[in-house]
Amino acid sequence: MTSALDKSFRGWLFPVVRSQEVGLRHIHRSQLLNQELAIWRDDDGQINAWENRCPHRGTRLSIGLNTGVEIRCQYHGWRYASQSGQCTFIPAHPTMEPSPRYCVNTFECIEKYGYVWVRLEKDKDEDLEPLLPLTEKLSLTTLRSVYTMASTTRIRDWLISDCELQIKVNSPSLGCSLTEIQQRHSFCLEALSINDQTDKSVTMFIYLHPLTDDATVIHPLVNASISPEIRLDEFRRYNRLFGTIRDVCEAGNALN
Amino acid sequence: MGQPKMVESSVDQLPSRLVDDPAWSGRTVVDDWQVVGSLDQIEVGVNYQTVLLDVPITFNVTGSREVRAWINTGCGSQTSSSASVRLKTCVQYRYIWVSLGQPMQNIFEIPEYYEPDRRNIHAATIRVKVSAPRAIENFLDLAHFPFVHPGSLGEEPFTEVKDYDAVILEESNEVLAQKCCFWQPNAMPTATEGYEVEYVYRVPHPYCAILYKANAIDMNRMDIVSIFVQPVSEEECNANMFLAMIDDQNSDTVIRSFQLQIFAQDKPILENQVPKRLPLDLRAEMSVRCDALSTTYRRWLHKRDVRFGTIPQ
Repeated sequence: MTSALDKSFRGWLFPVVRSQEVGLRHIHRSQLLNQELAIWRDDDGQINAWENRCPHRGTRLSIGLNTGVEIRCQYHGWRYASQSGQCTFIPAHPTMEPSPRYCVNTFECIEKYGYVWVRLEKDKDEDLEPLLPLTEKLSLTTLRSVYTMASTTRIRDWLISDCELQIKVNSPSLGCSLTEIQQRHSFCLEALSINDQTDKSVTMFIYLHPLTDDATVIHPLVNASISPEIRLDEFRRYNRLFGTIRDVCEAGNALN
Repeated sequence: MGQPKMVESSVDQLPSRLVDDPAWSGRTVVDDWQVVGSLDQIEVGVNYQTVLLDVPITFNVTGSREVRAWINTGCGSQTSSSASVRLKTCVQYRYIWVSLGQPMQNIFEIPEYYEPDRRNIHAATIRVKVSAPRAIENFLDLAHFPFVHPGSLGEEPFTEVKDYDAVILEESNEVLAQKCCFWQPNAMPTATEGYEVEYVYRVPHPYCAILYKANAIDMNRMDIVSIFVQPVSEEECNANMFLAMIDDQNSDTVIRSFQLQIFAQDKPILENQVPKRLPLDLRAEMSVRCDALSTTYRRWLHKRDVRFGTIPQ
């Protein structure tokens, strides 16, 4: 795999954002494989992943308004229906029925395991089912996603093989460490996360979400439910861990 | 530092990209006068550095009111050296204009500028991270008023854009739109109530546009709001707002701040247009009847082979 993003990945499902971050009447702006996305939920809870661009004059839809049933473009007030992306109303011509070709470019998406998953192209007959390499009982907790200015392949390779990274990650001040990091498929790693104080370990999945050729989001999740009384401490611990991973990856990026 | 020795610009002294690369630009943009600053913002004897059509230049105004401009020759030198390429300059409407080539024609006419009771005001220069043609097209647009300028230039539910005429005038080689009517709640600093305003638009230059709108007090006369855009790079520009108003009530500050407020509302829209360059293929973006002026402008840019800041067909 080269550093440039392979076209064929457009047929793959990637986690793009945590479900909880696509709140009521919000429009979340993201990117996947260089494609800018506007992700939003209608008031029925249905999720949409659209090209972040009004087909009329190219305005980002993410600066528009989520009315609960439609997105209203901020520039000329054109409205686009949830799910279909079809334009329903053009204020400059209020009596005109918008032509079916006035339609936002939409992408397939589903919500599962606490994330919104998107694929840019239909991959033949493949089901819209995200890869999660775990057959045991799942009790997943998504952690804060981490933005990194490094290519997806570089981050993956570091996570798997970079000893220096291991040392830094194992730094005692972090309070937890990662071991047995292994690749489960191209953009998903599995690892054991060990809490230094309790010595307890949990299975962790690390999804890599390519924004562009040289920017990646790391979406970590653990196969454990975290009780409310230790929630904040645990989240802080993981946040330090993945913050360190990001710092080391970006430092390595600068050297190369 | 003696008197700078400079040579007149000629094609072979310009950066090769200006001359050799046919994909870069039609010659007209290189030869055309381009605005680089307002006299109101210039101190005599000070060198100002700017970038015009991707070319770093320096200009100044001498004590004898002569405007000089030259292409920077590496080393970040602020002063002209013997290697400097002297550029053609002129002053019109109190703006400084520079040509990187050989200007074939004078700057477009705004006859109203010379009327004795006109208030000619430079409102502001604003850097916008978008191509110059996108900025012009926004200036030519009526349909966005209720959404981008609510309470001043438009207001829901008065969103309808009635049909108007948009043509390319072959003789003067400019775009003209007439009979553009739009209901505005607060069209001008002089306006006291909402009314249907008639607009006339002229596009006499790929990066300059002039708007005539009925004065709020004397409906027989037209106020002028115009935008002279300096194409800095393909995706960045400096928009100069020039006004020629009939207004004996408001101070320059009030008139300026009204326009600044309008522009401040347009800027985030402009900087969120994707792509930043204006596509000239009319199929690239969907248009409706009210976009007649926008599509006429795009056709005219295509006809003139304006490639800087556009995505050619």
